[in-house]
Amino acid sequence: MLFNSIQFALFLPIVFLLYWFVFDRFISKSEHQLRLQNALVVVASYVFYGWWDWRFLLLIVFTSFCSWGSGLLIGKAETRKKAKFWTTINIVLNLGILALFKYYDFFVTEFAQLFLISTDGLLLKVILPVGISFYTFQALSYSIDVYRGKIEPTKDIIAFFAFISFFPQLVAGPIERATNLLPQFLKKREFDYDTAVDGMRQILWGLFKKIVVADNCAVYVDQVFSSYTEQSGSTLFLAAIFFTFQIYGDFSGYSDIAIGTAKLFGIKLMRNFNVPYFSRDIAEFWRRWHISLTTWFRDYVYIPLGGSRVSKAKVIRNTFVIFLVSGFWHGANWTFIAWGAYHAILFLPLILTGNNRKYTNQVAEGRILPTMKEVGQMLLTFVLVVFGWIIFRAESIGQAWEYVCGMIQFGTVRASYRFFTWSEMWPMNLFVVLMLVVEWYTRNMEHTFAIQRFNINKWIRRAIYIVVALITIWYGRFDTNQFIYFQF
Amino acid sequence: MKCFLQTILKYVIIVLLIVVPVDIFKIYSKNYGATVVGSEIYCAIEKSQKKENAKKLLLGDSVGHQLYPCEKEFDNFVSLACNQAITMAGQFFLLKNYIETNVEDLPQEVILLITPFSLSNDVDKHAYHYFLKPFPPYKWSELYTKHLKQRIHSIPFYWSANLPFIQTSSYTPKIAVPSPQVIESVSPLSFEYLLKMDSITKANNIGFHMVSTPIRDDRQNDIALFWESLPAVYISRLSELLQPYKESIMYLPSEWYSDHVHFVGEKTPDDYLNLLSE
Repeated sequence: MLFNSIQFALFLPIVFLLYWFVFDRFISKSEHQLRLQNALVVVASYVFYGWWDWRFLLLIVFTSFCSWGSGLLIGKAETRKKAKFWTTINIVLNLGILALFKYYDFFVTEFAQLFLISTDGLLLKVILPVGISFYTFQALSYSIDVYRGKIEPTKDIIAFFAFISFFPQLVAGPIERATNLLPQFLKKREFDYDTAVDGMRQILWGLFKKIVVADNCAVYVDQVFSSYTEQSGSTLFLAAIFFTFQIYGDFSGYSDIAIGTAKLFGIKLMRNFNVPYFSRDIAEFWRRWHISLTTWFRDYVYIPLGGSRVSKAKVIRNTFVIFLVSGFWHGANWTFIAWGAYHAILFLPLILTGNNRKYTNQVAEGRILPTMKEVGQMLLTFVLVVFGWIIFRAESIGQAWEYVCGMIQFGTVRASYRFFTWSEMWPMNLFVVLMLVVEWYTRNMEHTFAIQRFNINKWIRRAIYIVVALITIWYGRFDTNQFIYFQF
Repeated sequence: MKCFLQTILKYVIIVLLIVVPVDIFKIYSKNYGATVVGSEIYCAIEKSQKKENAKKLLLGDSVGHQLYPCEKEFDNFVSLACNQAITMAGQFFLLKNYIETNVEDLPQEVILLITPFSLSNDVDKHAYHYFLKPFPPYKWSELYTKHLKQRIHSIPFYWSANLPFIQTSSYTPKIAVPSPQVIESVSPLSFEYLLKMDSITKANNIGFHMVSTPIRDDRQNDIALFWESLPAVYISRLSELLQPYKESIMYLPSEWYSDHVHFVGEKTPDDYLNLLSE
């Protein structure tokens, strides 16, 4: 089920009303309320997920059960060695499933090409289960945190299943830590008007970013990338920029809808994006882009490897490992690995010179406009990120190379005949600018649409909500475009 | 909780109170077509309802539109070529509109410029947006055949295409119908509506011809398959149309194409651009 579908528009109010009215109001005992609410979350999440393909629910159940069971075994383990054993078993099981469904065919194909053997009968050709990388990492974080003693193993299987399958963030994150999300399922939630309204604001802004910005950009981007050999340099450059906004609108829009929806159920999810295109260097960009994944790799891969408190050679190794693994996490394709390597190369000078934490505050803090230096830094970082997205978006490294070469042949901005007239393009340009302006002015907020914190007349604020809703209805594309990150 | 539901309800009502009247106004003033995806269809509909004084009328799919866009004025003919997704039923509706509007000054000839692959459309995944919205059921269902009705009813939420705020948006439900790119022959829907186009033109003493758009030379096998799988009943009943149509097919190098049927912008073939000037 997609967030931008009629099905979800019907599903969400039904689950919301059941959650707060039926299972909260009409059941007297508090512990029963909690259990039933969690059970409802599990059932609703399975319906939400099963809408694509119910067969893959078995995988979620398996992952949830293994992680829950391993948590208990780790907790009961008498020695550290035994605890490590059960943690390793759970990691192997979870990563094994992920490898089988996501990477097996890729490795077989690559080895077959390398050793010039046929792949006949060797490939599984299975569909990639939606969101498998997200919920697998969430499950892994639980058993590792139990092993590390950061969280007590839970006996409440329903709460645990709700933690793994919570539908707002099941298929594309944020990848939650057990330390943040699981305790929320173990205690009674109270409905809070302000939180719920704030959730609705965040959903509205998320829909705007997804349906209006990302999906309008997608039309242009898809056509240019599918016929890039025929396009002029400036058209290719423009499409690369629009893809940069498309992927941001798409993924951060999804995260906003997910976080907003979770708020409706009294659950607080972690922030996943923090205005990444206003970053002054690549290190800052990575602190602001897909925060839940970046911090996951930092906590569970980078730091255990020694992080940056080791020799320079090891810092270089660790940096490459984290970026390459992060790239490969996105998909079984060399383009993602190359994208990771590209960012590692950009990141390395900063970490080696100790400048990787130079910008931890918000740009132009306390000022309305940035300085010229900040503008230059942001533009440079943005351009570097754009080139990275070309590698990410291309179907092969060769295509990415051809695309970049094509960009160098600058010509006039001429779009190919059928697809792009100015009347079709102006809303896209306008809405990208609108998104950037709004996000700039609210960059210090908890989320972009938390504008109740501004000292604005309440009628103007209400008018803003209505205008954004109207823009989304009138200029959004509701032709059921998938969210890009679902494929990961 | 009650307060929250009331607040949400208030916003929903306010938005609907703005959206519905504005969209109804847009539909009745016919000024929304240019802003939705597939604006060429709305242009063709509008043009089909205008009085023209042309001897030739051109209908066609998106390749026809690439060669003779309906937005453009031509000296000696009128083009209503727009998009294959309107199906052959949509082409018939355009033709019927045009004939009824120009009953006092009918064209002598109607040409349907279309790629054979477009003829296999039997209501596909694009039909909701490109056919049902510009030709909403509440207006056009009288002209539906039984088969068309069946196909339309297989589209989830097909009825919602009648709603004003759906008509003016790009909302499309996820539709599980086969893509037209799967090579088949003439679809039952195209067959029925080609017969209707043939009979309406004959009844008005108008010549009706089908002409193929140029095909990529690497698709010759697909075309051979297309003719091989043409049912005998279609051949016998449409022979006057299909035989000359088959003969009109020409092949061009695949480098001329940006996808499986459309031309790269600057490579539209001059021969075809001059087709209707003769």
